[in-house]
Amino acid sequence: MNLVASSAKTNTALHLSGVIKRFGEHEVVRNLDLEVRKGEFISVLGPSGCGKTTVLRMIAGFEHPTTGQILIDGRDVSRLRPDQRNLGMVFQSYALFPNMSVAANVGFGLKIAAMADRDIQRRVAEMLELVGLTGFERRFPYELSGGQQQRVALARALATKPAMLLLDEPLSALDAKIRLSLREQIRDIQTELGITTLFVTHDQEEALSMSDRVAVMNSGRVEQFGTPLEIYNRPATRFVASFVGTLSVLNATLLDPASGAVEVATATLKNLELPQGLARGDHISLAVRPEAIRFGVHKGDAILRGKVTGVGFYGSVIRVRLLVGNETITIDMFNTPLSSPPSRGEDVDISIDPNSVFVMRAE
Amino acid sequence: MIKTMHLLRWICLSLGVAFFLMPLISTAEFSLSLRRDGYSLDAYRYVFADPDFISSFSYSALIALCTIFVGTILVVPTVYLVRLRLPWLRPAVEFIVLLPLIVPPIILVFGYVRMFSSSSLLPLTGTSRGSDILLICGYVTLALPYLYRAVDTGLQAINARVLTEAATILGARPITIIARIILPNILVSVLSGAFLTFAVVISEFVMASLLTRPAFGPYIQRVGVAKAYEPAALVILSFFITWTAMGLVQVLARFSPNVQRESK
Repeated sequence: MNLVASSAKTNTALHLSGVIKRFGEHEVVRNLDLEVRKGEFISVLGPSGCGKTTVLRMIAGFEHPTTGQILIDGRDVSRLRPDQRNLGMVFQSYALFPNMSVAANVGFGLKIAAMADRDIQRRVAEMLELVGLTGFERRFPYELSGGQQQRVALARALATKPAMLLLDEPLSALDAKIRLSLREQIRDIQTELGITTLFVTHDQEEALSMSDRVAVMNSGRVEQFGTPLEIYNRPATRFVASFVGTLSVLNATLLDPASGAVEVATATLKNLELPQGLARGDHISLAVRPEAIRFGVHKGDAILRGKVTGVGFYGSVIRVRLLVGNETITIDMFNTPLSSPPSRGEDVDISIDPNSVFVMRAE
Repeated sequence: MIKTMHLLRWICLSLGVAFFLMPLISTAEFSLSLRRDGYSLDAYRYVFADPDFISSFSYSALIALCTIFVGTILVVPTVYLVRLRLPWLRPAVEFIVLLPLIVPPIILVFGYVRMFSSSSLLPLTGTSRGSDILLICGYVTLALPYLYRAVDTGLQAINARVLTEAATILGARPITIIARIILPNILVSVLSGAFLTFAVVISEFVMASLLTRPAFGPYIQRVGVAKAYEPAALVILSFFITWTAMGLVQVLARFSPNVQRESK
């Protein structure tokens, strides 16, 4: 069965198959395969220059793949123009038309589609109500705040009832508080409409908090595609482990491959899940999330001793930096009225749960 | 030390202003000296009473408007295409649009006369209408550096690429995008270029004279040969028109979307 037929029969909204994009000699996207189900909210997460925006632009039709296929609702759109793909898109810089009012911006796509004026007015009103901007019809973009402009852009993108919504770092230009509230609003609207959404971002917190699944990209490749919990708790590669969340890396020596025992600083950790092909005496790296380390001595955990080098206050969380041997590790503790974080220079014991440790080959 | 520098700056500025204004003030003073017994506006009155003044000025104003219209239609899509689709062509296009500032208009008009003379395949110089068309073409070339620069700056300010992509994904085709999104948003820039074009064209002499058109430039020259005070009055009027055009450019700049955004 060919790709078009199989995608059409399944619940697949978007299917990228073997997509490669080259700009001259430079390969920006490398053999990308991605399948998105209908109604899913998918984030493409990665650092600057990893190819995530190019992927979005290829789906939108602003770039064409060098090789490979892009299917939307089972239809091969790889060579179609953007206006032939039935997509809505929200841009980082809002991209509202400055010469048009809010109503004219939202109704632009409908006017192009030659919809009757009365129907346009009704749809514009619906969309503005959806994004909470009823009463803003006559205002111009320069009369709105950044958050309001992005909500108008969202209403404009949704007005034409697209098959899929593309969001190109829509929150990056906004300040922290508005970013947080708009993040929730976008997710609520997406859930309400059930529209398949692809969200490109370099902000891991945004990706993890909003998405059904996250595709983590690095150097033009998807390194891992999974739920936020899978990405955070079971990173598939060293890059995913280090890019998503904070990670402390400790150098260790393998003592016994059979029992998963390793020596780190002055302590021994047992029952670790090891990668294949390691032998006794091999040098390995242990990666630990800040919240997987606890102060004090806890039975069954590996106990390490270190010196506090810094204490940072982050509201609900207190982040402590600790020097263990030659390695610096980070520990998060909840900030409660009774919590008393250690002081700089203090010697403390910490416990690491072996189940929370990722073992990686040493670099 | 600071006071000396401050004084030196004022002296330099005063010398510069005097250098530019003295000839103008002298010309203005001369244009008012037609009567022996004192200053009067007689020279201006005679100029306005001359039917050739009205007809030549109207002709040049009409040709200037046609130049602006044709120039805008030519330049806006060109700059838009170069900026969005053919950025590699930009250095070549910028060089070409600067050529009219380097190559004298007389070379261009001689080329026109040779190419479109009455013995050529397209004998445009054989009729008044044909010569008008040639004059407009020549003026469009002459105005290219001003129009191109103004439109290019306007497009840069509005982030034309993203607006185009936003309109494209909503179903708009290129002509719709230029007419409904791009042009309205760079209108202030286009008008700035238009006023500069008007200022350049209204008293242009070489092209109009060699194509024997009844324009304002040749009229000023003709009056200058035959009379004394009226040419001075015409020069002052010509300066006034140019400065009004420049002033309107400044006024329009205040209405640009970016200025409005910044002032918020």
